Amino acid sequence: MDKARLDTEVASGALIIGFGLLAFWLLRATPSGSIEQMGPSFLPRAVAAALLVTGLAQLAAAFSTAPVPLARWSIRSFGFVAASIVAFGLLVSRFGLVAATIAAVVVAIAANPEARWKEAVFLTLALTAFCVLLFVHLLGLQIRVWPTWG
Amino acid sequence: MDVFSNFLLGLSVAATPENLMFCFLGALVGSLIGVLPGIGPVATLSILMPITLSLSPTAALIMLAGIYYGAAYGGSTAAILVNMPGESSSVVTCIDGHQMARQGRAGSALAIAALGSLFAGTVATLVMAFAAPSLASAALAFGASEYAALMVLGLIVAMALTEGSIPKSIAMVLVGLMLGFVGSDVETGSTRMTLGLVGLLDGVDFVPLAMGLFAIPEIIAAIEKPETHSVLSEPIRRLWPTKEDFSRAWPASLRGTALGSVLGVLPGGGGILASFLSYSIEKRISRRREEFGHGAVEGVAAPESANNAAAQTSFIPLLTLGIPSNGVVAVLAGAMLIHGVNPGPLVMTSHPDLFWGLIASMWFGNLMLVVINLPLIRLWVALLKLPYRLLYPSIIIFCCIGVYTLANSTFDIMQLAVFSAVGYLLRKLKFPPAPLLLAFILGPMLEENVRRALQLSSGDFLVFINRPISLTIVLLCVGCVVLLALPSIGRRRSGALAGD
Repeated sequence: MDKARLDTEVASGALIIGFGLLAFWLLRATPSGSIEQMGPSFLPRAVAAALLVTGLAQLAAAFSTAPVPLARWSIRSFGFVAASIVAFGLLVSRFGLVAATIAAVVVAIAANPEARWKEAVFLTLALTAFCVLLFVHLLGLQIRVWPTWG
Repeated sequence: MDVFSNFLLGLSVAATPENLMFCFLGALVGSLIGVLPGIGPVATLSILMPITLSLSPTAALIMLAGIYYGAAYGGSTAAILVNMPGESSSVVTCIDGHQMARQGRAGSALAIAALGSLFAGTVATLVMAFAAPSLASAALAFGASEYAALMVLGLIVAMALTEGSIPKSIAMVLVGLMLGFVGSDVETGSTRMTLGLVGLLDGVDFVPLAMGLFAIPEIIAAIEKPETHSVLSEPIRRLWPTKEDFSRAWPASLRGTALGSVLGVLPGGGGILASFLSYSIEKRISRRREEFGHGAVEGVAAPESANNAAAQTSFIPLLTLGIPSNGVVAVLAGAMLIHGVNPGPLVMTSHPDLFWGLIASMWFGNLMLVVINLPLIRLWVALLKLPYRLLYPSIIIFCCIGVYTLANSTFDIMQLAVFSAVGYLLRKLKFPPAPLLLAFILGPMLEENVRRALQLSSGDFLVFINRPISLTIVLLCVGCVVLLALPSIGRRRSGALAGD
């Protein structure tokens, strides 16, 4: 049995409509004003309406043409890269550049299924040292390097 | 003449040791990252932009411009050596450039590309110096309605020239406008779409947005693909092109430069359209048509010259009208705004040192590219042999540190993570990201001008067609929409907006 694959074009149309609805929802309490004296949400609402129309047009076009199967997703690659960024963000202000860089590099390396252990250790150490040298010592950026204790 | 005294001012600004150094650094680092396969100029610029934010506006723009040419030239190097276009405008260079490399003429191909680019850059610099002032003084007559109409025209052309389906390009423009609206409303001071987050009061930050849409998805895409590209194994024997190569290359380079200079000025124009078009022209007029695709030197000289000329003249709309015409220029517009310089016709009078310094530095930048790249070819080959699994963690960590140093704020990094997710989703669904970036820059300016125009006319929409310049631009907009709606032309669009 063929598994029903999601069509790229249909998904795109749904996404555009989703963006439009999200915008309308975010703007629900913002006043729109009038044409001669526009309020903060006048043009944003117009753009949101245009998004809905575009999304519907995209859907209509998608249903009238042959489906385009969705591209292959790599949850692993994307997940680890995103996690690497988040890890850096969570660690850097509290625990300093060294801890954040080590964590982010280790997680980023894991995004690649072909990662090798020895290489990973070496790369992590080398990159961390390089970043501290470049950003803190050469470029003189004001970043906490080490965690502060107590 | 006035142009010459201004140009001398520019030379004196660009030739200070400090600015020369930033120009050199930009060209070097830009080449370095541009050589890496899959990382295009927009991604390169967004990765490196945080470094330039501590500099003076002039030095920062000079360095960013250097990064841009460096990235573009690095892209050609990768195209010739490994048949992997580092950017979409060097796709054409792959065809004949890599064939030349296969025949042991890699050095010759790289030298022709570099010299052709230098020549094109020199001509384009002169075009800018002469054309920009008159265009800017014409733009001073523009009122709110003209500006609003011009921005809409820019967005329509951007949609028309982008690869991919029209509804998707339109959607990207609309999403970009919407993201540009986030934050405090300038006129009423009330907030909108901030999700109650303090960090969004000043709007969405440009650097995490550009990185998230371009750099991170490009990195993930490169991880997903198994490494298949084979680096040239033959040693590069001679660098200097033969006499025959020269005599065949220079007319092609001349034609490419002329075409590129003109196409670059058009809104939505830029390197890709110019390089594709000049390649097909060369192929059509050549007496050795059968050599194209098998290492014809014209096939390298013409598109490389066209690409570089267009890359440079595409600054003209930004510096004279304040309207970025493609993704790369949008990043530079973002950098100008962060530095407190409003792109537009007033730049020339309010920041003459920046304006003329930037133009003069373009020529220095092109010269430096030749000086940097020809001796460093062996280094680039070595870099291309490094496995990507060692490179990408470095790029990710540079992105993170770069974004963090903007304001030492964790919130900016979280924005990067969110936009990376959005960027990855959009890439998988084949949405073109460049129009989004363009619309994000234009959004707030467009809103301001539309509001002001309608305020002055008490809500009368005729204000957009009552004035001759405004009417002309509106008619151009309508013309573009009609052309787009005609299916035969719509189908033939072949991606001309610098996306990546």
